[in-house]
Amino acid sequence: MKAQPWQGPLERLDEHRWRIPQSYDPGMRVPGIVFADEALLADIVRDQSLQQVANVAHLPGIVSASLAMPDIHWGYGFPIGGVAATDPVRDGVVSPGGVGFDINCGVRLVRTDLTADEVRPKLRTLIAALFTTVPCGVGMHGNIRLTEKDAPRVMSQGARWAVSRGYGCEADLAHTESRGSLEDADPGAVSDRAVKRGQSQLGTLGSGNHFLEVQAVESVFDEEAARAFGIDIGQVVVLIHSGSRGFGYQVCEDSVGVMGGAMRRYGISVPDRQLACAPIRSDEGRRYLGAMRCAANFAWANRQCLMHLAREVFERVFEQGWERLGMDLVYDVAHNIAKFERYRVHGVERTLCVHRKGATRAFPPGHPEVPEDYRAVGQPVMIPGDMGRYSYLLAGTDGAMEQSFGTVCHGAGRMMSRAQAVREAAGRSIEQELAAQGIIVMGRGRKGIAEEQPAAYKDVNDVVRVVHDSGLARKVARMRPLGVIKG
Amino acid sequence: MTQAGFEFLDHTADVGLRATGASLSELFVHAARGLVALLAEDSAAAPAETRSVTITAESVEDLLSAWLTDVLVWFDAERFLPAAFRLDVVTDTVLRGQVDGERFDPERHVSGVEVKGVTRHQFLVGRTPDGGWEARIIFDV
Repeated sequence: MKAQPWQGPLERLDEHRWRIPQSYDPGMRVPGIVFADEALLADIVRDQSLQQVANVAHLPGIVSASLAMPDIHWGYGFPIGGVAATDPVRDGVVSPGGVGFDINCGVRLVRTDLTADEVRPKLRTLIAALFTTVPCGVGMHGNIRLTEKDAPRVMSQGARWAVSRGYGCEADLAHTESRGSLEDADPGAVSDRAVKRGQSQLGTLGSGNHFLEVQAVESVFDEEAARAFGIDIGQVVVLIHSGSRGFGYQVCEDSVGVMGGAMRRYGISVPDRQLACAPIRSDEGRRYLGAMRCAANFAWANRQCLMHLAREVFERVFEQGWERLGMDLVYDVAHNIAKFERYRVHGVERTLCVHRKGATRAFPPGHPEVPEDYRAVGQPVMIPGDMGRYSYLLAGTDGAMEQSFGTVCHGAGRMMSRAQAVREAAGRSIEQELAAQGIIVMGRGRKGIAEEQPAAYKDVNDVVRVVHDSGLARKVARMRPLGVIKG
Repeated sequence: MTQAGFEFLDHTADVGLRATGASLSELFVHAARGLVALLAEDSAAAPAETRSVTITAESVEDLLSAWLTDVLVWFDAERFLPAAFRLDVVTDTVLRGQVDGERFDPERHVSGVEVKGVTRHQFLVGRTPDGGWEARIIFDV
């Protein structure tokens, strides 16, 4: 399957914004807006992601524009890095494809009081202990088995359930998006099959691009925000990337068939079956949102459990309690989700359903949903790069509220297909190459590390530069990987 | 097309699969083998247990995606790694068959990539010029 390069029109609005005019396709209800610089755009036009930006503009009730972040790449239905806000009172729809299979896939950053110099002598022991303790990879089940009684609690309480079981503390919830639990979750809308898939997967990492990474802070760009987040140069932090596991995948799967029927009933047509949708106010729309919130809560419980496992490993390796090691949660944020949020559009405040598919919420200073201790500096936003180079910590600004429904990018963005990455790695050992740079990588799968090698990704520096320069968020700190575990 | 009846296609973030078969039954078997190759690469599974499957759907596309989702969910929820497929009846909308396999064991089998779902993006089931069948599926990984 060859990717077809973009042949359609693209108008430059300013240094970092490009428009696909509504006139490109008569079905588009709004234009497409892409945040990128010229160099990133040269890659973006090579696959089908811009066509997907145009396709999303077909969704009924879409407001302002179909948006794409600078890490945009070809997905299924929505592009990865796509953002769409729909208006419930203008027959706006919710599309499960705008959230994806991995509902509330997201990242969680944990700080420590340890320095890179203190960790390095024990690094191999630490990464090996994480690798054996945190279940990762295909077919690996976790030790936290969800009983029939607990399943609905996880669905409705999310991270709060995990804390109630002793996996973490109340302060963790204050530093989690939506306190780790969305209201109006509807366990009755979740299939038995989804529960079955999730039963043995709480506290498991998964595979593909999911990871648990030990990093060192190498640069601080914004002292005030870094101080508020408890971040300093030389410090060791832990970044966890995972989602709702089989539970969320099945919620998405269950919805696609239902949405197909709903579209026929409501007379909606979209250019891609994976964009199947239903009016937010329809039974099908409400049911999906109720189930999606259960999956989002499952994901927050999962990342809370994963952090608990990581804290236990640090306690064993460094022979101190996690509180003494300063292992507080900096923040946990989703990057595959649909949420109702208030925005001013053409001078009028409206409640919109914001779909973020591979895109991260980034709320500004003063926003009531930003934790109180961060409210002066804005919401922390974590942007993982690749396992050889950098990851970033940013802070939300007003710019994202004005330009992108409070949203920024979610990563570096893939550049190579998985097959191409494996071909490029033939005859090489990516593990040894990374070890030569002082980075220890442990992976379960045979091909996983080759597929996820640094060269498969764009340089996250380029993506973050666009986000920073266009005022969507501001840089706070940059981290370098020390060790990584992968599925 | 390889002898296996399936091949992987390049996609930036996910994995595409093209499967062929002289009949619909063969197409469905080849597509399922492609999925198993993603999950567990070339793991040799023993036919230790047998599962029966019956699926009805509204179209051949829905039938194929429901079939692949079943194979995926068996693996994801119960670690059932298929060894052999016997699809007895496949019409456009009805599938019946049996699958032999065993429990995935990370010590003995190869971990491939976790497949999150069978997407409907660019999903295709159609006839080939020689009277056979082909399908294109993109899996979210």
